Amino acid sequence: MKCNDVRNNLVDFATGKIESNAIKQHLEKCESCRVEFLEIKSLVSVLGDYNFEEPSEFYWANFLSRVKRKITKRMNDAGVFALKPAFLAPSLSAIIIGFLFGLIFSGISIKQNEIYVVQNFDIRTTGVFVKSYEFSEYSEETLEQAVFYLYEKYQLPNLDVEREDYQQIDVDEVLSRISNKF
Amino acid sequence: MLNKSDIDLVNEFKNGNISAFDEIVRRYQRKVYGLARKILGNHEDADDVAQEVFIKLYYSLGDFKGQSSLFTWIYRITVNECNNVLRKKKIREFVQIDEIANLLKFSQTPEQEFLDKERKNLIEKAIEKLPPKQRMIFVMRFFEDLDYEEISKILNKPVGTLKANYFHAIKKIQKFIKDEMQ
Repeated sequence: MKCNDVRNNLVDFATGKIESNAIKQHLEKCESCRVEFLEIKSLVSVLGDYNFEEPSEFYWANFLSRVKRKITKRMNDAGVFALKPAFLAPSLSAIIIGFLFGLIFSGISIKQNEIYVVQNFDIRTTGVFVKSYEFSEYSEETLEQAVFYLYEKYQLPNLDVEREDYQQIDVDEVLSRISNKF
Repeated sequence: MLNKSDIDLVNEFKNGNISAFDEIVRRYQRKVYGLARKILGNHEDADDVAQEVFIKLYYSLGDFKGQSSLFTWIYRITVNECNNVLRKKKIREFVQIDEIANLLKFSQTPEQEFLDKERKNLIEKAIEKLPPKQRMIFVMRFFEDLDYEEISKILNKPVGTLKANYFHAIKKIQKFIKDEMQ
């Protein structure tokens, strides 16, 4: 057995997941693999004790109902959920950030006052487009993630139906999320 | 319901019995969370991923053809979701020097609780340092005890590559811990 073959199986050998006479014999002859084996063996004994803190039973008792709530919510939004692929279209160099549309009409002040807004009124098929030139410092990927975050958190198309709900958007949190959290 | 096989549950779900989905969630929720928790290193992300996995499962279960086991399928969704989280997140500098200094300072304390916590933190940081692919292979092989064939189906990688990655992952963890202890 070659050293490389032995090494690729050494962790399994050290953890007892495999037994192999060929590896045993190789380790008796090859000092560098033996040293490697001893080091790995001592490491895996430490790693073997690792366990993360389990969530509480309360968490597990509620897990299924949380999943189902989200499924129901998404199903209710199914009509507008279909808009999501449009967010991903690579041709969309302008990122769609629907909440800004609402902000502008709701009177909430926002620092990026130069934002150029293009609104497409056929929201059911195309969403609300906001060309955010002032976000150019962020990568497209970052903004795309922001869009997903906004979509999930605020269910934007629904909010558009009841525009006054935009008042509840925590602008600072959203902006901070866009700039820092991804 | 408890004694039914995975495939029976899937078929029942396909035939309109939604409670079969509930049982699938109950059956796999801890495994999915545990895998995500070990890959991602924190509860919040693992919780998000676990929820999302079952939402995706709900929508895609109708397409499940049974070509792989349900277990493999669910793990594949989990790994993909973890990958998405890792991709979206900035590559964080996981370990601050001060943090490690504090960690090691406390290592002299006689209380076992402290020692366990320190060791756990160090291991988590070492795992977080691994590149995503190696991290997933390591967690699935070392902690989840999956065999290479199963991991190969989940990640769509040849067994040889998995073994080499597993070995390199252990070496990196070893190096990280050594460096921090010096």
